[in-house]
Amino acid sequence: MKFLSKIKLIFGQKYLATPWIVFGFLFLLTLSFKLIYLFDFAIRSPDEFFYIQGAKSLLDGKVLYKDFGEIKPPGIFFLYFFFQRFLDMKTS
Amino acid sequence: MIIVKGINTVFQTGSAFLIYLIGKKLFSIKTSFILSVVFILAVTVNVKFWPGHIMLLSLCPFFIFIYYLFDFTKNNLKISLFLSSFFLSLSFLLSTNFIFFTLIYPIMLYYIYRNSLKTLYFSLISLFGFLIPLAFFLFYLAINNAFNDWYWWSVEWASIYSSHYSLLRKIWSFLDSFRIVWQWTPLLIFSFTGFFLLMKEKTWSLNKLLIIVVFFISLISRLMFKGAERYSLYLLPVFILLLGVFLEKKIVQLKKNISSF
Repeated sequence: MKFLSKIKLIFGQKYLATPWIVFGFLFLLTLSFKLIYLFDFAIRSPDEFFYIQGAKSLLDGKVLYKDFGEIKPPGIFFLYFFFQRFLDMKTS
Repeated sequence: MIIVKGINTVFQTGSAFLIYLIGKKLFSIKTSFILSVVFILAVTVNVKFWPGHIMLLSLCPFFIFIYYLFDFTKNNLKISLFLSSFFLSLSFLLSTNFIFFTLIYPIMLYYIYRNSLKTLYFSLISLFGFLIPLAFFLFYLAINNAFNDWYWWSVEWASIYSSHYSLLRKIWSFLDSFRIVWQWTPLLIFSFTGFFLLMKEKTWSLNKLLIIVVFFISLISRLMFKGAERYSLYLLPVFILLLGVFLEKKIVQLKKNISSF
């Protein structure tokens, strides 16, 4: 019964109405479900490989669609580019 | 590699949190929280959804678009309209099929104002927001003299690639997608029940209209693609919204039944 009342307290309106608590919970939930994906170092999707390579090319100063091409829209390459740049992951 | 894969985790959490914020605008706090958890479960149950591909990552700006759209219907702020179309444009730059969602603006604005001039005026605001990210991309192409290359990859080669998939095959793939993503079966049952409950309502509201329009546009945009599992993610936002409708209506009904008992 104590356990049930604790669960009720956690999922009560007070905690659910606090955005940062909800965000933290969702982040931990996502992270726990993503552990295998995050630590499995192989790239399982060929698309993901294209995005990473595209972002690396952009970091090397190459021009999207001119120096390398894909039918995929530009946003995905720029997104990976910005993240790689932001996280200073530029490889030689 | 783990950091690159971390983008996916950040975007997924962001999307789930945005569902919570959207849910708070439309439903109760408990329902909005349930919806955000269901979203995380829905993108986890199939291994093919795990990689950080376009479909998953484009959902985050798409949910921001939905958030500001409902914010506009609630507060009638021009900035919300502008931001919604701005984020729709970012979604469009990630995945071109989001272009169909621009149809929401004239329908929604005419429903609100019932006046052609006002509809046109507010449509121009949304158009302005939509064009800004596109203008940046066009500027990038112009300074790098890459417009013809973009045209070849995105128009010529893309049409050659897509012509391998006839309309009948696309329709078959669409129907088959419900089989290959069988893990979503409970979600689909509750969401379609939510849709029928929404349609059964005799009164019309702006939110009801928007959910129905998003439902049909999502179906059309899914129809444009092949049968791989990841394309089903385009249907997830509307299924989540319809699940919210189902939960709200059923919880209210359940409370009534309990009180009458």
